[in-house]
Amino acid sequence: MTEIREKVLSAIVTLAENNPLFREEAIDNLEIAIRDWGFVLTAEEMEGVQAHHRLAGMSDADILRELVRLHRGLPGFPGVLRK
Amino acid sequence: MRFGSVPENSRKTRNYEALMRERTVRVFAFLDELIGALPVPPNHRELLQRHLEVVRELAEARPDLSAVRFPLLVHAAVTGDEELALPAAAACTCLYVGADLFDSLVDNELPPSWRTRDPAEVNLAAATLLGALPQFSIARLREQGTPPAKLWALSYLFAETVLTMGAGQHEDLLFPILENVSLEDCRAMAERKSGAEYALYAKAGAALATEEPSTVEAYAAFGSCFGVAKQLVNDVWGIWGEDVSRDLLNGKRTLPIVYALSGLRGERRERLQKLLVASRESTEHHDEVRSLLAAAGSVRYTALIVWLYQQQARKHLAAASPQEPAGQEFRILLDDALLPPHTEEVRPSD
Repeated sequence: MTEIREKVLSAIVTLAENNPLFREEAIDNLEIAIRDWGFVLTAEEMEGVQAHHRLAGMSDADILRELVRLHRGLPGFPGVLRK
Repeated sequence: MRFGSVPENSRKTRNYEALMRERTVRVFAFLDELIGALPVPPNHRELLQRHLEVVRELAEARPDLSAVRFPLLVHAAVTGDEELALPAAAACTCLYVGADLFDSLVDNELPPSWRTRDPAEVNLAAATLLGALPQFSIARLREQGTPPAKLWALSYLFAETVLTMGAGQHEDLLFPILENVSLEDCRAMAERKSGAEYALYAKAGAALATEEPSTVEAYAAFGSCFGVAKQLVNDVWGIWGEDVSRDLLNGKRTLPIVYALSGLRGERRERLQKLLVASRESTEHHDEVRSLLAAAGSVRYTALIVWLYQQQARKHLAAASPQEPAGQEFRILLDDALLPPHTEEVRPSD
């Protein structure tokens, strides 16, 4: 997968924090939000954004299940002592 | 809504389990020898040994500590060899274990072996592990010919990281009593508390391996983004991972909660605020808090930010141009941590 430029990713994080309209749009469809808010990504970078489509299409329950899976599966997760 | 029944580990991660177990054994053997040689009375040595023994058992049962893996792997990614980074990995492991012990004390989550001890002893052990032992580990690098300037730089890096992590931890403690915590405050806290820690793990290996600033910074940025994504996943676990939410009991203001408080208005916001206060005293309202947070979009927002940080980590790793086979191990590590997961079921073996 082609990586999206780091400065674009940082800008999206900042915009998602500060702009409720962008936030709402990005959560539902990051690809459209990126275009609507003037970010210019190459065709290859846009392919990277496609992966977010699957995330946006998941239900809350599925997303939570994935996040909990990551908590258990991530290497070196803080709190190894807390059993 | 709460989820607990998921597989322990992905199949792909298990491919590296034997290698990680071997690394863990080497790092803990190094620490055994280091603590044995410390100029301290037997009681204090025993305090440190006892605790490291507990951690060793856990770490060998599940050999996946980033504090062990990152310094060794980054060094191998730059030079092709990980052996010379063993003291740096030991230093990172001490810092991790000390910080975790402090964190467990603050959150009333001490492991059973500490529950009968005086909290002052826990503090002493954590302070020694976090502050002193990393420096003694770094000093061992002299024996393998590391120049003094590099030793000093590494020593300063550890001091700087402990300072940053302490500031982040302090914010984490203060947020519950602050009137308004913004999403930006919350992210900055995660970057200080966890991003700095993982940046150190990667940077320690890189700084030892090369003097090329762009490479060192690329690995540090990779570690930071990886650490923040993990912290945010931890924040979700802290609310939805167990029947009793420790984060709700501790009044934490993690990203899902701050997001809901910043977006909700009127009665719904007041209701959430009241329930958050009540949740510190009783678990009775934890499910309702979870439902309100999900209805406010907190799950989806947190997932978006985790995804963005994971993409940033991937970008920084690519910029660092890791040598193989370390690069492959890093990419598998990132793929296993990916949200949503890769659709491919089987990865070609190395």
